[in-house]
Amino acid sequence: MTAIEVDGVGKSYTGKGKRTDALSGVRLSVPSGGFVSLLGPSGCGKTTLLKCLDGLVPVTEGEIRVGGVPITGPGRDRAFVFQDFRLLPWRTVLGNVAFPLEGVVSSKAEREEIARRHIEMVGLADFERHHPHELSGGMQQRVGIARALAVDPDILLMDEPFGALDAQTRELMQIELLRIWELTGKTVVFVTHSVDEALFLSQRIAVFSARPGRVAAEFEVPFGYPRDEHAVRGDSRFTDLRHDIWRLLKGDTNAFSE
Amino acid sequence: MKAASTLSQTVKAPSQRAWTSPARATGIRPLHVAGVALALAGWQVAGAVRPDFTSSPTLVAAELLRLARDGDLLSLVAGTVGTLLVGWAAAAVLGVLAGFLIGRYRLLAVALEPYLVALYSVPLIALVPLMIIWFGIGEGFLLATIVLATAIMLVFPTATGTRESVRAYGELARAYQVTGRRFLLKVVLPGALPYIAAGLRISVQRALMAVVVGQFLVGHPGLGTLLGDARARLDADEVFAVALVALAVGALLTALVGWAGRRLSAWRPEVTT
Repeated sequence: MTAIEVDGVGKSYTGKGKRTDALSGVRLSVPSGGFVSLLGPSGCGKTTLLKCLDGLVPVTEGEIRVGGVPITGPGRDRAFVFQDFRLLPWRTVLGNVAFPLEGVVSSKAEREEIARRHIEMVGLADFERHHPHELSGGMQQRVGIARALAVDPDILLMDEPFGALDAQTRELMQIELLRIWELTGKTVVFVTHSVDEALFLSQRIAVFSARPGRVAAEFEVPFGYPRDEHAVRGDSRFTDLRHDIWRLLKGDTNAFSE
Repeated sequence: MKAASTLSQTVKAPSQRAWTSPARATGIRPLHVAGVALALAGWQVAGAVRPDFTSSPTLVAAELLRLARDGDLLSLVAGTVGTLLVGWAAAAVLGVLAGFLIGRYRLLAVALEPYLVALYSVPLIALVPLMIIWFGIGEGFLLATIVLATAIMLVFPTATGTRESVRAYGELARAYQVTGRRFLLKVVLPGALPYIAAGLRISVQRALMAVVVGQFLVGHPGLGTLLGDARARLDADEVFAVALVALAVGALLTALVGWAGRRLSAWRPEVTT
């Protein structure tokens, strides 16, 4: 089953009489329960596409269908995880995770029960009374992920969620994310500029080229789950794929600077 | 954090904070105490030479006692603070509302900002005659003067806080379909609170100034009137005594508002505007 269909999507901005194409003719399909990464250099439009998928940014061309229905804005079936966490600093961990439930679940006890379950899922059970500024970056993003999961969406849209974290925390979070993904069966669209991250996490990688952003190539990643980090990284297919993707990205950068 | 091999790892909460010394808790250092003692001693010496001119700590202390006993000082202070609080509360409501509106709606900001800047810059004393014509010389005049002097000081911080809040959390709220009244009350207002607290802190001093000067000008009973009487009699002891009381009231109010503001926005460092 297809969860998301991106059908000839284009996005252009007009400012001061000048037209800038951020995306053009993007075609992509994400299977239900799949893990797809959007990979590319900064400024290639991958984050713009992710925001279009959430309905935060309207497309100027083409159509995005979720479960066969064209989207018109943000909805309960999708949840967004931001690169900079975007937690409400005056709320506790519990308050942040319960935040998106407030217009949906009327009983406070029930909201907190749902929030607690997801806080526990991301391993922060001891921290529900803490405020974001008391937490490390990795812990803050765990809250961001718990908040997204709390609304029980079909699709998780993750915008370089580990981009602001140090290398070690980042690896831990990748393993955590795969565990949660396998546990919940959500569809994940994951934006990153790290080839290794995309390869380790996803089933399929859509590599973007820049200005206007479009999908240059798609790669299937031939490893099953759960993935063992060392086995995967040592596998020759991993190195080959890594090489191919790098060549594609590099060629694009060269074409660009010329 | 534990090793990468554990899949379902849990992070442990940190232990309690360490003990803080009284000096650190209050911000008062031995050097401060020594400075005050030295200044009082110097004042006492100066007072021994020209008591009619500089007064002295002992004379001022005696005068304070006399005012408290015969001059009804406490009820005058209570009345002044009461007027101040009523006027300042009204100013806060008006200022926050106006600031929120111009922070939220760009057209309003464009239309109103020139007038607000003008009001902010005009010397208050220039408006006093108009206030007297409109409100007489009673309580109404004092309240109007406080509102005029302080509401404007809340408008700009609130507007900035509102804009900041929308900029920082607007997209998040949209992504999670938090809109309308819930967006305003649960996202924009709490996000703007540190800015509003900063505005309240700077405006309370101005409210005190407005009420004292107002009383001084129209002779409405209060601290300002005491000051006026003392000046008329060239009584340096009383002038110093009343000024000290005003200082104490101002310091106390500022500390209280600062404390309340920090309580309200403990989740982020103080905003200075």
